[in-house]
Amino acid sequence: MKIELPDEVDILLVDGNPPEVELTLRALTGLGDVPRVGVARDGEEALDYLLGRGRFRHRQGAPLPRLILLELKLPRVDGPEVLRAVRSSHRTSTVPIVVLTSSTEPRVLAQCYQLGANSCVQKPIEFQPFCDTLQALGRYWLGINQPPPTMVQAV
Amino acid sequence: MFALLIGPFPWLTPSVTVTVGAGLLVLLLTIALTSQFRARRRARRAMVEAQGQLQTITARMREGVIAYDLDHRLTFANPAFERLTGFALDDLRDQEFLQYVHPDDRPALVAEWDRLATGGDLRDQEYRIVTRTGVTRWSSSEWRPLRDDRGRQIGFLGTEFDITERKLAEESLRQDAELFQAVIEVQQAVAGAGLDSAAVMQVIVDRSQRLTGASGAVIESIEGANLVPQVHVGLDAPQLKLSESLSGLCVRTGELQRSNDVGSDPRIEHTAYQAIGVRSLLVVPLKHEQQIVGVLKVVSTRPNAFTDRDAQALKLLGGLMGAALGHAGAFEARQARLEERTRAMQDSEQRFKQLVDVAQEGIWVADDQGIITYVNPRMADLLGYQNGALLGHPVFDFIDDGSRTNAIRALVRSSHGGGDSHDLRFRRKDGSELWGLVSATPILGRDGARVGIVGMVTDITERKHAEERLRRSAERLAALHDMDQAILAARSPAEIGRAALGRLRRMVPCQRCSLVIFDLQRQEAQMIAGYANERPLAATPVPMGQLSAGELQRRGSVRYIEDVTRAEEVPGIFRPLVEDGMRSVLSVPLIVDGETIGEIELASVTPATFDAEHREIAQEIAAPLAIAIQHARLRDELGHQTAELERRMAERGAALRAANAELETLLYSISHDLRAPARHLGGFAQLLLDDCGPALDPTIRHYAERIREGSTRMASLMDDLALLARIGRQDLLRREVDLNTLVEDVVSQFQPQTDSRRVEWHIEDLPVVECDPALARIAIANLLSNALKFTRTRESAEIRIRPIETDGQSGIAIEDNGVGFKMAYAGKLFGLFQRLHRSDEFEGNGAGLALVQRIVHKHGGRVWAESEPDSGARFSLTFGRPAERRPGEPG
Repeated sequence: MKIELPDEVDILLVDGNPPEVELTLRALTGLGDVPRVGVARDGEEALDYLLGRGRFRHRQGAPLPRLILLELKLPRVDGPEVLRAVRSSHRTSTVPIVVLTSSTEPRVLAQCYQLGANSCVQKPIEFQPFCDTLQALGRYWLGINQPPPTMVQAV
Repeated sequence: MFALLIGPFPWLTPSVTVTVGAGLLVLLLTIALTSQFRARRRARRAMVEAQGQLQTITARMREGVIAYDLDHRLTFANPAFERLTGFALDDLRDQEFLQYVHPDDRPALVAEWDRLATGGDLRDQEYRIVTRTGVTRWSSSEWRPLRDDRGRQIGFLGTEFDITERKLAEESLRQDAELFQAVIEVQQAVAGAGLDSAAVMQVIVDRSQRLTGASGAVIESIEGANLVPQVHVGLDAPQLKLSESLSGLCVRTGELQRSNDVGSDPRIEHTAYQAIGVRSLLVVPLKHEQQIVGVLKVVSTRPNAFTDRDAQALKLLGGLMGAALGHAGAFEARQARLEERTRAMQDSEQRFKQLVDVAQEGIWVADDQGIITYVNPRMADLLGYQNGALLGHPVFDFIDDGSRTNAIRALVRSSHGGGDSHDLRFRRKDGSELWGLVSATPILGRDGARVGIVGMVTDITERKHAEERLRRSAERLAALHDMDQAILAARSPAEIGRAALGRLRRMVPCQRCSLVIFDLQRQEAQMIAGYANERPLAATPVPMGQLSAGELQRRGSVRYIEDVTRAEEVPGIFRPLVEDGMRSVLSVPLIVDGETIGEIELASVTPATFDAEHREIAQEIAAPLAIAIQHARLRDELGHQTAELERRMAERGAALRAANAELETLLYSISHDLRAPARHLGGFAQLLLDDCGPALDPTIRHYAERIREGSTRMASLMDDLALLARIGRQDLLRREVDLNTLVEDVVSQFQPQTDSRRVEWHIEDLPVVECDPALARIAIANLLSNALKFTRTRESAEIRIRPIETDGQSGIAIEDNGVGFKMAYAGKLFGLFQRLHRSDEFEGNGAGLALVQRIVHKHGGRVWAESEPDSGARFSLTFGRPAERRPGEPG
């Protein structure tokens, strides 16, 4: 499966595990209105993309995704670091971020919320509940949720 | 009554006069109490031996011993105290606090009490005691706080030493001194006053009254048939008839007359005396050239007021006066007067000399430069000189250096009129010491300046020596006490050794002392503590080679070499001492259980330094020292073993903690990090079936389904494992939980599963318990889920939930009519991944009951199961705390 990162996406999925990415994308295709999903394979790539740096320098000022799905365990720059950097940049400080975590440790959850995550979700192990969970996320954040005004302007 | 304890110490037996001060008694008591409370076996044994002796000692002690508790209740008095006061112990118990003390002396003593109650002490307190029969006695007392073994004050201990005789002696001395001074004053008055007989008479009546403690004194002269008062002090002096008075009798007989009770004395016409209240009197004739010219008289308002001593004093003064009076009456040539006066003075001096020559006290007179001008024979005798040899020498030449400061202070004080007594040490001609109780009185010139001093000396050498013996005894006791303390306190052999040697050095004169410990296994000796003069010595090994074979055999006995420079053979172990210039060497073995563990070595630069008493002291110290060192060594060894054990325990503990941490990590990893791969297996199997299902070969399809099922089971296992891990790590959040509500809620969640079945729920009234509601829900849901699962084969499932109470803890029991299990397997039931049924019979991952158990144990509760195959099962659980209240009761 070819993983792409187009300049404009509805969802930025940040996950370094290819089979996980593949299953996630597959689950999201179950939504009636299939969103445009971009995949960053590590934290550094995600930050370059969002902040218009490095090989995404050309994206400066480009629209931001409406939702970031962030895995905590990432190569290079890990999830909490990505959260911190995104929230401390004025431009990206309000982008909705859902943390996908395998842990339900109170300490981990508390850290995520303190760093500015909008939501934390434990992905079910079984495939069907996994699909249901991701589709519910997509429906909520892309359909039901009202995005922050600054982002609407950006879009 | 408390027991006084003392060791079996021969030098404290009452064959010598034992005078034991309160300080020493307190020390004895402390030892006794300490021993009673904390003694080791040895101390106990000594205690038993000592008990009898101690009773004997307090019983035979010359001092009164008395103890009060902090509430001023009398707790003890020995026989001597009963003898001293005449009160029996029971009388004393009923008395008020210190009632036996003279009322005038009590306030001063009570005023000191606050200080005593806060740990202070009182020494040399002198007061009067009024005995049961009303006799006044003088006591020198010493008071100390009495403490228990933890140092808390529990009362007061006093010793009362009867000093009545000493007081009387002192009083007598004081009177002698006064008399002597009076004589001198009169002489000075006579010499200075010349013909002014009134001035001389005034001095004489003043002195007579003071010396005899009289209410009045008078000089009467004969005028016709009457005696006419010339000079008087104190009471009025009536004119008397020669024929009807005792004074007249005195004139007629020329002898001293005395009346002890004027009222009943037929010799006296007493109307005149009645008027002024005179009850007793003394009268002496005043003679001039064999002619009686008048009388000197002292009177008192008390009967029996005058003693023989008073009579003697009055005679002496009367003799002096006669001469002066005679001069006043006659008009003679100055030369004649001077001759007469000189003779009179010689005469009075002669009388005085007779008095002092036979005195039991030593008497000396010195001029204002401290040069001796007179000593009586007794004084010369005391100092061991010929009578004349002392004259012209400074007084201080005969006083020991150590007492000189005291002596000077005493003399200075006496010049201000003080009549104090002091203990001073004199040096006799033969170099031996003489302890004297000295009282000094200044001789004042006419202008009031001091022109000399008169001193009285009582020999108290014996008493001082007794005191010294006592002090040494106390030292020895204290040293032994220190040893006991050292045994009780955890101290090293070297510390114990230093303490012991420190004590020993104060009692036995030596320039070098050391403690050597043998190590027979390693054939080594080690000097572990020592002093060379005041300097502590560093511990040094002593090669065993210095101990010859004969040496080894001789070990265990005391060795004393009077002079090493003349000894035929000097043991190697003494060689360092010899090289250090030592002459006499004493060595005492330390023996424990028949084995010599070391020795004490004492050395002195002078030959033949150590006498029998020194050897005795060293041996006394050596016995407990040996035990103390042995104890300390055993304690050290025990300490090493304990430390080793603790180190190994700590290592194991650390290993265990590390293993636990690894297990936790593993559990965490299994439950979290394996989630994604498990999902991928199931996910892609599902995709395979979804995307290619119809096209698949049935076998492939079957395999894909197996993969998907495996993933499903893995998912449930890992969820349970994660839960299990979480329960282990998270804290309990206990709250009051009404199990009725909780069970109802859980049952309703099972509704979808039971819709298609017949399930009868019987839920009784359940308790309110303190538990973590989220965890309790998981446990109960698991048990109810099991009950539903194992009743599935029944046509009608019956599940009963009832309250239980066991060991004071509340909980619930869940009973079903399911397939049950063999009780033989009950032990495996709660193990992780243990299953009693095949999964084709009943599904399950074997984690459920393990989870239940972990939750219940975390609460401190119990869970257990009872069953018979095919006749249902009962699971019971409690939550570790009693029920707060029954539902429905007001809460």
